[in-house]
Amino acid sequence: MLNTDIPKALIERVPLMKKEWLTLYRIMGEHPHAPKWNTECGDRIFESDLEFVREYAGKLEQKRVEFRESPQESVLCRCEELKHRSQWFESKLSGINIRNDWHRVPVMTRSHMQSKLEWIVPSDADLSRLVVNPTSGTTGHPIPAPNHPSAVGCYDPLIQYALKMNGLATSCSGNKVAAIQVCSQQKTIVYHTVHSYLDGAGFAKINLEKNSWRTGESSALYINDMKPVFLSGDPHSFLDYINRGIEYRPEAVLSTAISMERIVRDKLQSYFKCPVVDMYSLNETGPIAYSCPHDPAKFHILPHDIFVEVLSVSGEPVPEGERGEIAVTGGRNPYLPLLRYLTGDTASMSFKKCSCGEISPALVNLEGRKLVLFRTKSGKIVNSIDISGIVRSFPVYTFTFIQRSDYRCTLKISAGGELTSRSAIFMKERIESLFDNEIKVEIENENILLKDKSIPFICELEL
Amino acid sequence: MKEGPSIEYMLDRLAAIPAVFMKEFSSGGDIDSGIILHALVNDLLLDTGESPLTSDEIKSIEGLRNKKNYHRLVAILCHLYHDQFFIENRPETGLVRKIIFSQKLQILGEAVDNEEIFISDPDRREELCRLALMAVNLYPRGEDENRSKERLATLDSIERKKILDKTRQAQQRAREIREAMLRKEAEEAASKMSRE
Amino acid sequence: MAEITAVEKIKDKWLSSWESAVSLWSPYVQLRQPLLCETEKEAAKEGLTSSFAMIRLTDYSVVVSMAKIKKLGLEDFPMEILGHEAGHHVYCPADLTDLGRVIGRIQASIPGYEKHAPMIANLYEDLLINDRLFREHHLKMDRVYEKMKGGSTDKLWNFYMRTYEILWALPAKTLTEKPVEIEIEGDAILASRIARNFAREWIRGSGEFASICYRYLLESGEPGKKVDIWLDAIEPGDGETVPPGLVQADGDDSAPESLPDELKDSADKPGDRNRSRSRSSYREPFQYGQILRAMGIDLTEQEIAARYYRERAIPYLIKFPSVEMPESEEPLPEGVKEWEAGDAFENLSLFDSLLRSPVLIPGYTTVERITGTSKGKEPATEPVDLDIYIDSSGSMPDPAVNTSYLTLAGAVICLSALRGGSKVQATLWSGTNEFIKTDGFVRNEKEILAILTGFFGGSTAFPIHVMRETYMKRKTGSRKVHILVISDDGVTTMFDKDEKGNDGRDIAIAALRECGGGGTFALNIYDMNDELKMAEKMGWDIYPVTDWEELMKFSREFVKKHYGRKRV
Repeated sequence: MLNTDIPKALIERVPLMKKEWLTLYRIMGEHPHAPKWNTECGDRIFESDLEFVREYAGKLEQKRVEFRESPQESVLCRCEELKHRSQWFESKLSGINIRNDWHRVPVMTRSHMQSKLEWIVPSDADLSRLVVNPTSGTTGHPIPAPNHPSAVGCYDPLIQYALKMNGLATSCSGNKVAAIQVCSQQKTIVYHTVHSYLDGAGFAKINLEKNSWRTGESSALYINDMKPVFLSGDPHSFLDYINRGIEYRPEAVLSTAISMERIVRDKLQSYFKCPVVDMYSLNETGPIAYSCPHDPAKFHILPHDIFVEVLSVSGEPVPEGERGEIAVTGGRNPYLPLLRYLTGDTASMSFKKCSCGEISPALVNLEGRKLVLFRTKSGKIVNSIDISGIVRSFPVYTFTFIQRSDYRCTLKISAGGELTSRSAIFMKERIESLFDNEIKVEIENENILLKDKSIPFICELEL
Repeated sequence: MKEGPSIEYMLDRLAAIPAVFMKEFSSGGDIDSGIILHALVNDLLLDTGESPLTSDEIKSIEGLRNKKNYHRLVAILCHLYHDQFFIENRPETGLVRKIIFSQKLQILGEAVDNEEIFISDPDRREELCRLALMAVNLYPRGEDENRSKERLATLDSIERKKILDKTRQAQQRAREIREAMLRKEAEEAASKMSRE
Repeated sequence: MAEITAVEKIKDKWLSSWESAVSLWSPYVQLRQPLLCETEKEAAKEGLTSSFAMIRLTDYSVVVSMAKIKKLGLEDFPMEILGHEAGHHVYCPADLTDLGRVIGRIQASIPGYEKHAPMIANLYEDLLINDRLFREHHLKMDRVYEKMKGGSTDKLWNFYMRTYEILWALPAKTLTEKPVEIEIEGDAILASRIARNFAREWIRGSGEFASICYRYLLESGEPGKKVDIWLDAIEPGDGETVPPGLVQADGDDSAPESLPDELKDSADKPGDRNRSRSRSSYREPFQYGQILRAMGIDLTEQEIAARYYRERAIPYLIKFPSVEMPESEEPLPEGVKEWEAGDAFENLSLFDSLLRSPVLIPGYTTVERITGTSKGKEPATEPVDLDIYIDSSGSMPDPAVNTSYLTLAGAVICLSALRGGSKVQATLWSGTNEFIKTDGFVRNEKEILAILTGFFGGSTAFPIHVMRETYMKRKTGSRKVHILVISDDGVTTMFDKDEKGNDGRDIAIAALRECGGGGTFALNIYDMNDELKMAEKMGWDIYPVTDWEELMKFSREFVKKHYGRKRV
């Protein structure tokens, strides 16, 4: 029975859905080897949002900016404007001439974003269109950030730009599957949809974990039949993809969330034989930078509407080439304007002209979240996301999970009397079951505050 | 400041307020049966050793008829002071008069929604009793001057309203944002092709 | 040695205070003697580590660490401490269901921080208990907190202490470290109002209290040491007992008019939110699971789902229909009684009378027989077994996360069937080869619920082979079975070819004939297509439901429509 009407629920998620997009949407959803979808999701984009994204895409190409120590004029203007709308901007910018004394502007931290969110969100922001994208939880403590469909919609042109600069010539628009996002963890949402900005091109988020599929071969068969132009995911999931021997090779690979080490990049490059693009992007900021096609150790600033600087511990910009903490200002999220937001990652700045043709400055030696591969003795890889998922469901404030070279694991936590001894046992048992109960996990309650910047995952196993 | 009756004593006195004090006041004509407020005040002043109300003062009391809850507060204070203790230990001259005509009493009347609260709510009862003592330079028995001032400050309706308004403002937007986020997180996100 | 006797002395004093401590709450309540542990080690063995005391609701016990009491200098407060612990048993939370309800309310007020709900619940309960002990019984609760004062800069703790200062008219800095900020003052005023206003309906105030604490949870980066000492009711269950009554949501029936003005706003908000989150008066399965987990009950998602649907099904449970069997037995002789001269002659049993005495003397040796069948007794019936097929394709919700009326209707019907003595074969199906089923017709509730609460979320292909194998080799005289399929228009995949190439239509017809108890499709459809019309002709009863909630109505009507048993 082929129904040509667009289901109501679908219109809610893809408001600009067209009948001619339905065929692809259905093929993706009802393929005999399709994943066991567990959620529905769409771009939530209306006509006005689409205009915004298109205009953004145009500016992204035409208004590439070349800034140095102080923000570009467009970002300064936005800050000025926000002074009247956001309590945070008002209080932090009061008495400061941002054109002359930018370095005096106080920084915004992760903890501010949690506890002072209502100060940051502009007071006149209409909350009715707020969306919250779940974070993958690769870090110990992800920040749920409010976002707007039009700002999330800008991911498409931003990604397209990064891929194009890295040599992807094929268009992602139209009657085709633009991308499949590959995940590899115990449980995560999986869905398929079409994106209005890409004229109905398909996108699916899938999980390689076998419980997500009908048969053992389904994932490979599905991906092969969908023929996505590019694959997105994190290094962990790509390694799993290769391990599972999935043969499909896309035209580009986009890696995010965890920094990709040289050895992993080489492996991906030799397997996929296509451009492998690393994108530095955070849930609370959106994409920040992408890897340079000529030197992947270098990340060019991607959006034209953010100002990026590298600061010392005291909040002063460090000289070009020196390592410091990355701070971002601006962006397009109407709920979360950034003002020297410290991402928690470090890098140094490079303002040198680049041979790739990109004029925006670059982050060099970026140290983001490290890929940590925990394993069972029999070689099964355990995703750190699954560990943090378990730990975060208990009243634990901060934690560090360590796997020693003899496979033993220690979970150092900071928790008070709220974590009863019984809950601690449940937590331990759940983590042990991730390791197929092959490995013992010891819990050490330090009962002192582990630093916010403490590394949540450490693996001492030899690769 | 001197030691006055205990706060319990004052609360008991307040609890014994005659029903007629809480009813509609007479506007002075002969048809209605309520008490005439300025007569009540006049009695009190005389019994506590003050001079009687002047005609200007009577006009002033009647003129504040529309001030929210003010008349009721005056009546309650009359009842509180019209007690053996204050009649025997006359307060310093002028003080009773001063509180009755004070701006403070008018603002206090504005701070609450309805007059019943001064009788029904334990905190408001205590506040009024403490205010009555403080106004005539007394602190409750068993306390000292500082302690009684601090407690009155804690109970102060006007101050409290300011604080709560401020607290509420701070909480309101925070709650709105959290709720919007909670709602959306439970529903779903907007599709994007990369993860973070 | 002297040390030990000192401890013993204190112990004696404490034990002798117990009864009066309990009677502060009620002269009628009996609680077990408290377990007073002399050493920290002994206390730790009981599960008491960070606090000085704890309660267990499941066995009405109180455990106190005397070592900690001594360390904290609280030896002279037996009535205060024991009265407080007794308060947890008698006043709040008093039982696990109320604790669960409070945790549910608190969790709704602290999104993202649900795991801290037991701590907030403990603080709230303490506030109510201590206020009552202080005001009604003039116990020195303030002194107990004062003893432990010192060094805490934690904002949550200072707010909490300021609340006590306001409640008990204590000078500032009696319990707080330094003058509090204006926002904290405001929060403390609100909290003190909540404690007073909700003292009698304490569950209702918990959400309000939690929404005040929320801000502090957001800001707090470290566990509050001071809080730890007081966590005496953080996990009063045994980790296994699942209290009933938690599936039902706490409708926020608070009439804001009854509240003082300053509480109205705060009371309105969480209520509105609850309403917008779920209109129904039931919690969603994931919320139910969240509460159980916060109570320290570690069940798998599946076990939680099974309990959830079982509890929701109970109010709907109906007797499963049975087909009346002809009454076959002869009346059973049950005994004899005296036959007197005036009694009907035909009732006289000569045989029995002669057994008693060879000489017949009316009224003395004569008896009549009484038999076993009596009027008004129901005729014997044989239950009809149930063969239920539940659709779990992509168009259905995951029952472990959100309420699935499909699963609920299945649970209602299956549990009713079990209650009526029937056996049930349950099959959950989605795409080809995607099915799970019970091992034939069973009477094991757990096994059935595990099938019903499963989830595939795949494509749609009716498991024709299950039906084929169930009915094609049935022995004659087997118990009758009713076939029930709950699905949408995907049910017509039943008429496709099976894996052996058989026509599904033939199998459907044969199954309906063989089962002997009829067949029903309950379908989420808006109109009948040709294939469904064909099914109707075969003899399947088709029951369209336009939304899944209508299924509940169906599940109740299901019995009447087909079996219509009349009472004799």
